[in-house]
Amino acid sequence: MTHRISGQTGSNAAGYLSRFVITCRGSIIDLISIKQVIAVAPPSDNIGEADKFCGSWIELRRNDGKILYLKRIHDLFDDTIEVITGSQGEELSWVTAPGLERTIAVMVPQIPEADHLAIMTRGQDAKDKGALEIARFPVKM
Amino acid sequence: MGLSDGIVEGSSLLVDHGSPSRRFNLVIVSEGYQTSELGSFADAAQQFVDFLFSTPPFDKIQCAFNIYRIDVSSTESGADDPSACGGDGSVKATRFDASFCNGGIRRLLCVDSLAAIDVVESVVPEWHQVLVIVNSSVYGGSGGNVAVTSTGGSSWKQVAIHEIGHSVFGLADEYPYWAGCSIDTSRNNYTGLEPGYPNVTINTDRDSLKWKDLIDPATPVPTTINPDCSKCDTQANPYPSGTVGLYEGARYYHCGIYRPEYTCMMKDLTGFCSVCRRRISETMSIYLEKCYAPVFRPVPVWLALIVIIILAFIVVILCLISLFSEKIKCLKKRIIFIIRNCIAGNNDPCISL
Repeated sequence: MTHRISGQTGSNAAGYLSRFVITCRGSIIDLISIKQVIAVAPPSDNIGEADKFCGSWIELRRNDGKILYLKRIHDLFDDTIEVITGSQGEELSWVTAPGLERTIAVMVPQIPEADHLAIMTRGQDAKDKGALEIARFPVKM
Repeated sequence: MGLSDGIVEGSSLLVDHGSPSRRFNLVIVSEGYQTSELGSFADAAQQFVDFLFSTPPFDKIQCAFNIYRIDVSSTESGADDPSACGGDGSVKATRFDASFCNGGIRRLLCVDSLAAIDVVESVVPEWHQVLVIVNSSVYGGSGGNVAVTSTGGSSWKQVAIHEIGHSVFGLADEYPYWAGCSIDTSRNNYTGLEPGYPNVTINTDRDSLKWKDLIDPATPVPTTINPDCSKCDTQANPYPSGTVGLYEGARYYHCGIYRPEYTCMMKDLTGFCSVCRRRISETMSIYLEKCYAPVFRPVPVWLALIVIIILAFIVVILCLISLFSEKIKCLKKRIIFIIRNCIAGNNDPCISL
C-alpha cells in the first residue's frame, strides 16, 4: 500500500531529491549532510498507517506538522546490531553493542513546502504510548 | 590511518543501464587492498555482481541497476584485527580504517562510513547503496547503507545480499531467534504489535494476511506450528519447497509470529522467498523505466572489418543476381515477341523490341 503525492513522488521520472546522511550513537543522532541528488523518487509509504506498526520510519513534514512523505526504514535506533556468527545453520544473530556508531542515508523528494525531516520509532509493546519522534532536522542546512 | 592511508586509483562501471538518475546505483568500494592487489578486488566485486544477478528476483531485474566499482588503494593490506577478540592484534594503515572486533564482537567488521560516503559521492553522486569489500581472510561484516564485508567466509555474498535486503528493501529477519536458538531464554512468544515489515506477521487470518494472494487454497493457515515454544522449531518442512503459507517462528521469536516460507534469504541465507521477491521487484520497478538491455558493448576492430567485408560481398552478389535476372527477363521477352511475329506471318527476326 503506497500513498503518492502528485508530481513529487511515485513518478518514475527523475527529479530533485535530498539525501540526508545521519549518524546514530545510542541516543545521540546527528545530521551530517544534506546533498541534492537528481534521481527517481521512491513512492511514499502509506502515511495514515505508519504508527499502527512497530519499527522505524522517516517523515517529511510541513511546518504545521502535516506529513508530506513517509518511508519505513529498517534501522533500529538502539544499541543492538546484527552480526555474523560464523556458525553453520545460525550464520547471523543479534547482540547488544553499546556505543557503536551507525550511519543512515535516506533520500526524500524535494517538496517546496517541506520544513523538516523527523525520525520516528514505535516499540513492539502494544501497551506503549505510540510512535515517538526521536530526531528532527530542518530540510535546509 | 585515514585520508593519508590511501587514494582513489580509478573507477569502473561494471553494469551500465544508462543514466544514473534513472537507475538504482550500487557502488562497490575496496578497502585494505594495496595497489598491486586491486586485481583481487576487481575479481571479488565481479563475483558479487555475478552472484547477485543469479539470485532471483535480481536475475530478472538487472536492468534496474547500475553497478560501479571504485578502486581505492591502501597503504597496507588487510584490516585491524584486535587481539581482544581473538585476532592477531594487527593494526593496518588503510583508507577507511577497517577493523574487526567493533563493540567487542569478533566478526563485527566496520569501516569509517562517512569517509567511504565522501569517496562514493565524489564518483557517483546518485548512489543508493554502498558495499565495501575488505581485503581480509577473516570472516566478518556489517549492514546498513554502507554495508561491509570481507571475503573470508564462504557465505559473504549471501550475507551482503541479506543486509541489502534490510537496508534497501525494508525486509525483516525471518529467523526465529535473537542471539541463538540455544542461547535465548526470553524469545518464546511474541506478544507485541504487528511489525511494519512485508515479510513477517502476527496475523493468522487467511483473508487479511499481507501475502494472502500468494497462498494456495489447499495450504493450511497457519502452515506449521512450533510444538515447543521454549525452543526453535526443528521440524522438517512438511510441504514442498517454495510453498507459501504461514510458518511459525520469525523475527527473533519461536512462536506467535510467522514467516511466509520455510526458508528464505532473510532466514537462513538461501534464496529469497516469494514475498521477499515480490517486495524487491516492486521496489525496483521504478528504476526499470526506459531501460534497454543488453547495453552496447564495443566490438573488436577485426570483427567489425570481417562483418563489413561479408556484408559488402553479399551486396555485390545481390547486384549481380539482379543484373542477370533483368537480362534473362529481356531475352525471354524477345523470344516470345519473335514467336508471336512468326505466327502472325512477320518473318523478320531482326525486328526490334
